[in-house]
Amino acid sequence: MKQDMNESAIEKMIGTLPYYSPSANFNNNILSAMGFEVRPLISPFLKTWIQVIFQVVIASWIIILSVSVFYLLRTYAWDIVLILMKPSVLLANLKLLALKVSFTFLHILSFLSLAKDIVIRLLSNFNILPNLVISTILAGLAIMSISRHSIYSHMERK
Amino acid sequence: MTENNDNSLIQACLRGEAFGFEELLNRYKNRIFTFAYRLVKNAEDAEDIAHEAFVKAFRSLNSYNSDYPFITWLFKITHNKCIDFLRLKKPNIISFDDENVHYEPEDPNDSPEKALNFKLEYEEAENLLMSLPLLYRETVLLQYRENMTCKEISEIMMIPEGTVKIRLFRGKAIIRKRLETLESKKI
Repeated sequence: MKQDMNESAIEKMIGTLPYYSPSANFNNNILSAMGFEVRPLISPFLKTWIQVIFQVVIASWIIILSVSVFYLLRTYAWDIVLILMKPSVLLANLKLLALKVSFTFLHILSFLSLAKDIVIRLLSNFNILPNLVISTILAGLAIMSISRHSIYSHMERK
Repeated sequence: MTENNDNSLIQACLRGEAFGFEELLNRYKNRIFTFAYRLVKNAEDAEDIAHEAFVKAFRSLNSYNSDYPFITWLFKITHNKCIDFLRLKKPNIISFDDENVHYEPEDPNDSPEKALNFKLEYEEAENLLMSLPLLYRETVLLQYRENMTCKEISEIMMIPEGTVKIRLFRGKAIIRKRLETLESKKI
């Protein structure tokens, strides 16, 4: 009995070993060796264009980034020099920035809270079903009137 | 079902349709590549062997006997390619005779009554399989991973069915023994 268990365990162990895949070009290499013309997934022309576009986009971004950094450095050169000369000023500025960010965050939170309160107040006595029915009827009428107009105008043109 | 499909694909290949070759490749490339890899233990060599095996099979499709499964024929070609490769590369290391393979018979008082309580990660199982002598590794693989019958294995390896059974028995005995060693080490 235990011998059978061992046998089945070994069989299972070997039987569940994974299969591996050869390299991506395996099929193409064999088909080429068999004399078939293997067509690449993307045509070389398209591939070249995609590469060119990709390179142009990357280059543009690098140029934009470089120009922006250069402009910022040039505009605030004196401030940067001052900060570099006095590291304590940098620390104070960083503290100020952190304070501003935290205030902005609090402002956003209070705005969201206010918006939530307004929505709750407005929708407290709001029954959505009759509004939905009325708006559907109105929208239907509008669509019908527009369609009718277009049909008439089409007939008139004839 | 698969055999019927194989035959229709083979007919397409014989008509020179690339679709047939591609489908057969997609269907069997992983099995053939993995089989070759587990025999030669090197992925690049295995890919070369699988490549040669497929090309040879496709070029000699006219001589394929459709009474036998296509995959068995493909395994036979791969087996021959692997043996040729190993004979060329490692003539002194690889032995192809059962007599030359070191086989440790089991202790009759030991394993049959001891249930193996193991659960190996697949890497450990792979290593264990790879540590088997080639003759047993191939037989065990064909039987348990490829679900081949002893008759099919005997055709692939060109040996009598009795020899296949002996190799299977010995292969499993070695695995069992090594598993017991592994288990005792883990404890």
